[in-house]
Amino acid sequence: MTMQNSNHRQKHLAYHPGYDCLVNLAGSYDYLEMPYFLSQDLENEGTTVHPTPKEMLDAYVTPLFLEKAKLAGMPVPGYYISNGYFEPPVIVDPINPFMIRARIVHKTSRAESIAKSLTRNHTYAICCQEIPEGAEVHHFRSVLGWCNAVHFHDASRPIWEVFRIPLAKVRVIVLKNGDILYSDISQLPFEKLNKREIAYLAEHVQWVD
Amino acid sequence: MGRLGVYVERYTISNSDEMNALMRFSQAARKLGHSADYLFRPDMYKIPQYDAIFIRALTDPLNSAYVASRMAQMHGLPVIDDPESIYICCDKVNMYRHLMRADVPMPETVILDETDVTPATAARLLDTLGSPVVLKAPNSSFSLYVDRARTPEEFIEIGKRFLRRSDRIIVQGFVKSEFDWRVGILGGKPLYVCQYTIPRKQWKILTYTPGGRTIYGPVRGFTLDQAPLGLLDAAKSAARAIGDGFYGVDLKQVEDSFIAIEVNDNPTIIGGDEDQKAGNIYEDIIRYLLEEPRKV
Repeated sequence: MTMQNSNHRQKHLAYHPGYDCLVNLAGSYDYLEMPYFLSQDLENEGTTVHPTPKEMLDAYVTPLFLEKAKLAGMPVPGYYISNGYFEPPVIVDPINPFMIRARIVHKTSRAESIAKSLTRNHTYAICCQEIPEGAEVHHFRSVLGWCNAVHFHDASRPIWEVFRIPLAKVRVIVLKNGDILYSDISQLPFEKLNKREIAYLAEHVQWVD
Repeated sequence: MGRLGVYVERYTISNSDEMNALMRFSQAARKLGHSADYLFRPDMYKIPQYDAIFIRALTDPLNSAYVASRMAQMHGLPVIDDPESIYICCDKVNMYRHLMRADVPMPETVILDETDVTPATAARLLDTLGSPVVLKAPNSSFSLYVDRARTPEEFIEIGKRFLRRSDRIIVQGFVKSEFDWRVGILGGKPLYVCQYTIPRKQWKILTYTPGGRTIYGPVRGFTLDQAPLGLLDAAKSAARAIGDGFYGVDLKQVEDSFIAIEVNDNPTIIGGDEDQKAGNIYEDIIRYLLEEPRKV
């Protein structure tokens, strides 16, 4: 068996001396796309790299993200998996190979049409997270467990420490008292990093030539 | 007494053949002094209450069966299929790399990405692997997204179509046969043997007509003793390359030797097919999950 093309290999790959491992810094780790295969190739060669394909799935499949976070002691909202039925206010994430876009549903009158759409007419499952009264949904960017926004500094750390996802956009539910509940991780492509984030990376990793 | 959770989807129980097999599992569990409950998607939160989980739904890392499997693993439960087996077997790129690493005999195999799907590469592979070649999308099952190409033009057309599903595709030399051997392996041991016959005028086990009809041949069961020399060892080595779970290993016979075509997680068990000459399938799986201590 042979691989025809390995040109993609070095792009986005860096060495993290603090953790003595390679890090795949593509930032978008969708299943069966090139960054996924990059980590898979390295893992199959016996090289320690993060995220691994399994870590990618743990992060990007929402109910697995929530369960892993919960087991690691991170606060998460109540959630359930459904064929379509849910009770607003909720965040609804699809569990299927064809959709990634979540919907925040506040009104019961919208529930049925959104359920039908996100389940592809009740074929696939959805993951529903309860939004506590008065809470708001926010996002922050996590770069190797660091966040430029001071407010989310501490919240960013487990994204690397627990999930080993180096670049991520993190969805959180901010409660009335300011506490946060982790809700989801999604792509933060390397190409969308700002100067401060790239500078942070440059301080912590060495690019593989 | 152990509690087995059998994760199913609506389509699993709406298929009478699969339902037949599920009923046999239930009966086998009862006779062995255990209980078996069916779990549907909304029951996912109950998984930690069980002693083991058996997945009987289509597996793919992006669907709910994988969630059930990984949830079970996160909670320390034995599970068939385990998440590793799912994400290795459901991605043929990964599956073939595991077989290759373990030196398992298989058809000559090449992995391509988008930049490789060119007329020049197509012509070269048709020359070196022989015509026709078989193209596969990594995330294909039930013979879907598996096609043959005889010319560079066909190669490009199929390759580009499959690249819409994945950033890589697989190209293999074609091995002609009238049937595939299917060996069920559980925990490294052969569980059943059968032949999936290839319908006349077709070249793969399952073919779909443009009208949506499925064409497939009969399944012939064999006892383990009837398996030809070398078949079980070849199947065991292919399964071992993936893991220690439950696999359906497909092999082609080339004269007296056997080459692995695929290792499938979540192999089909249909009452009257795979269990024709292996009525103990159900008990063996339940014992493996509930009675054999192992690391999770």
